[in-house]
Amino acid sequence: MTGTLESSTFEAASTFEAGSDLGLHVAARTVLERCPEPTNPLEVAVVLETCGYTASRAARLGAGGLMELGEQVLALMPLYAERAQEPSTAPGQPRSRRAQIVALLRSLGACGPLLVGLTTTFVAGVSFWSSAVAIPSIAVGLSLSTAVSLIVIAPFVQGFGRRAGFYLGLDDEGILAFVHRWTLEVGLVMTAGANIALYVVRNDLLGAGSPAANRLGLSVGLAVGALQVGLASFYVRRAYLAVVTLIVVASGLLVWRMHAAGAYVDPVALAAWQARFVAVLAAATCAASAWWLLRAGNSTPGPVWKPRPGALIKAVAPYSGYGLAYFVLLTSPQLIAGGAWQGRYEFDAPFAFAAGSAVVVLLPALALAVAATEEMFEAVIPDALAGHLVAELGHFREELIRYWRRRAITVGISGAAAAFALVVVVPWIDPRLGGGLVVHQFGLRASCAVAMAVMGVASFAAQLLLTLSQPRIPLIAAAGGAACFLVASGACSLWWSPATAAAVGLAVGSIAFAGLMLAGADGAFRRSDLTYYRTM
Amino acid sequence: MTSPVYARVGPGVVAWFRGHRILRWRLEVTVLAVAMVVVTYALSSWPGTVGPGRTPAPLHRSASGLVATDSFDRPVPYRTLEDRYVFNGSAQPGTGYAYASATGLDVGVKPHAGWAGWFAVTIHAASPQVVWHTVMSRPGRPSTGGTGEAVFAVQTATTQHNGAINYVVVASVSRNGLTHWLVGYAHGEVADADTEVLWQSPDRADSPTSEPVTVTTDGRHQIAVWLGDQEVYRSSDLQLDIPPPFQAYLEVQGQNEGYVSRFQDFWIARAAALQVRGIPAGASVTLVHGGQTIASASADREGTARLALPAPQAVGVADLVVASARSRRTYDQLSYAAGDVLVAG
Repeated sequence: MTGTLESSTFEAASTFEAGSDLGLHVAARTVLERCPEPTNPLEVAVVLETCGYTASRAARLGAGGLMELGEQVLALMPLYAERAQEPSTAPGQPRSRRAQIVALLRSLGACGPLLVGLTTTFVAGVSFWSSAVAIPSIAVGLSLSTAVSLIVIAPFVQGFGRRAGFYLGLDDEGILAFVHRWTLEVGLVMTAGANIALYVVRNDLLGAGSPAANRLGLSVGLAVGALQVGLASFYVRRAYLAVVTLIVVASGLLVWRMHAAGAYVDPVALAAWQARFVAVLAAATCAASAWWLLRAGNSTPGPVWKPRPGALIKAVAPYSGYGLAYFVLLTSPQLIAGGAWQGRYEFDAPFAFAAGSAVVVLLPALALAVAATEEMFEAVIPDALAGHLVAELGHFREELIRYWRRRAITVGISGAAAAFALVVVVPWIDPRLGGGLVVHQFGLRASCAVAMAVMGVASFAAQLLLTLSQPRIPLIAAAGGAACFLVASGACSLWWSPATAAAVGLAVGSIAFAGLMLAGADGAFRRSDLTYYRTM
Repeated sequence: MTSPVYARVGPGVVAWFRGHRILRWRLEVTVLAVAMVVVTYALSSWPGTVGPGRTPAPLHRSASGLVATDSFDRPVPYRTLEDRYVFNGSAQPGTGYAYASATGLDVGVKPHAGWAGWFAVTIHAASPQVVWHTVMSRPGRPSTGGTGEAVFAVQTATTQHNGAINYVVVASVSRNGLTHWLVGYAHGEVADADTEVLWQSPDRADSPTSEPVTVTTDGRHQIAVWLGDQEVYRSSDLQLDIPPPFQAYLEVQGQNEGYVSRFQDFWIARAAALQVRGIPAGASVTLVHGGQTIASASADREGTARLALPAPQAVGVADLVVASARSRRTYDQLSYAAGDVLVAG
């Protein structure tokens, strides 16, 4: 039995050594399980050694040896001391109906911005950075800068989410401002730099695009990047109601603006209004983050732990890499459809509309991912931990695998149903609603919808693993998907139109992402470790 | 020896996170957020389509009647034109083209089979209460192997909303070595429109290659068209059904051959009187160009004179003469437009 326990500990430790800060915390909790009140580094080192820690493992965690590892782990003990004295909560209970409804509403709230954006697009033909009324020069400038902003800021948003979540888990709220500065604010500077570079290259070096449209694109790029920064804290704090309220009010104003314009909407005025609108929304969310969401809950100074930069980067890099690869896969098809492989870019409205409306297929997966991650931590894992001894590791794993597979199938069915509705049902009712809801090319519509349904399953699995601190598999899967997308779209563009190449590439990339993700997630759940989760 | 992954930091850093430094961080974020809004506002401002006209001192222009203007008398890069016009048409990419040189804006189609068209349409739209004007030219030699049309149209801007492409059209049609000018209006959905010809000049080999074209329409019942200073068509009882606002189309159509239309001195001005304020009651105000009086009026008791300008001369450069019983003053080389409000100093 001991062998099983220790090998499981090894698995957990080796899984998380990439993020050695977390590995150190795993070691600390392992020691606490064996020795609740260690008094000196030697005692800690002895406990660690009995748990299978060796000098080489200590070195991988950044320590010179077991004794030094003992010192570092002992230094972490005050972080857990207060919590150890807190009354332990009862083991997780099955969720009541009310709790399930609340969870569903919360998960829908998490998808609020996407949901509201899609609704206003379908109903009023306008969203925060897209509209049915556009002229080519503006569409090119806006879509390019938006793509650049989303791709550049994504790694920083993921990094912030990971780091902020980590410190919130340690009840260390005071450091959130520091994390915000060195992830999101640095990311925003990088995003601004990338957009300025794009502007200089297009406007001054290549002489491409109209000057005013290039300036407008730059403004939208800045505003979109800032909005991502502003919204990040809402997600970390799970302030879904606030974010939905903000987005609904903002969208209401946009729709009102569109209707107030009457039969004629000046495309220039609308685009300028959208850019300013997004900027105001971004400013409001950034201010709300600084003054409200990133507040320090307790006024008494607590211990502040400054991580070594190398260890920090090593811990955050997989999450940032995943964010980058995911947004490359999600955003680049528009650039490929515009002729990027041919060395040019023209906005392809049918493709943009097909891919944009297909995002609706992603919604069930994203909502279920939020609900499932919350349920996993609040009910499934605590229940399994309460119901199984260490010796029953196999049963624990079976329960987790059953849960994960059941949820993955639900996500798959939901995505398939949404894709079917988008490809078959909506075109059928579209003429009865006055038209304009669908792209008429069936192949384009179908490939985008299928790609998003498959990507939904992959996103769901990735979100679960990221929440369980296993970023390597999502990183490998998303990077693999992005690579497959680039290769497939590049190869297809030799024979087919850019839009067709982009659609096929998107489908291939999504399938690769989902395939790698499903295989990886199943393996990860099969190796899931009771001892590790018991320490969490 | 490697440094520890975690190091306990001192009270100074603790203060950074929890004391006045965090307040400073919050203020920094707020200031940067406001700065971002200001920068976005500035960057998203679109350049105006109205150039600064000359207003001789002490005359002051308190309101401008000029809605848009492009003299097309100097080279302008294509991409700069795209700040004011959208270029599009039925011609294949590469067949339709446009460029602005010192001699005007050329909108053309290269040699091709069948019909193909290309146009520059103003990005901004204008209300029905304006005057539309351009000098439109066709190539010096009339078409012989096909058909070529130089087209100036005032079309509804609501096409994306309702699919209507209803418009008023003035065109020079050239085929078999002969050319005629026509005025009409058209109704259509999305791509195809049927044109009703309202006026047409005879087919001639020596038909003018260039005409200043001026159009007014309310989009419902009224059209007036001038070629040069001559009013060639006017009606107030048509069923036009052209939903406002309107956009101007500077266009070419060619059948089985390359063709090019040239446009100069394009402007849109308010269909309103030019007002001169702040002058003695009863003073006479005259707008004079090259010895010819364009318009004149007397100031009312409030000291405002309202000059009704002929539509073809609704925009230009002229001398403004203000004469009262006690004085006479001439403002030289005034850039004026119908709808301007000028205040004498």
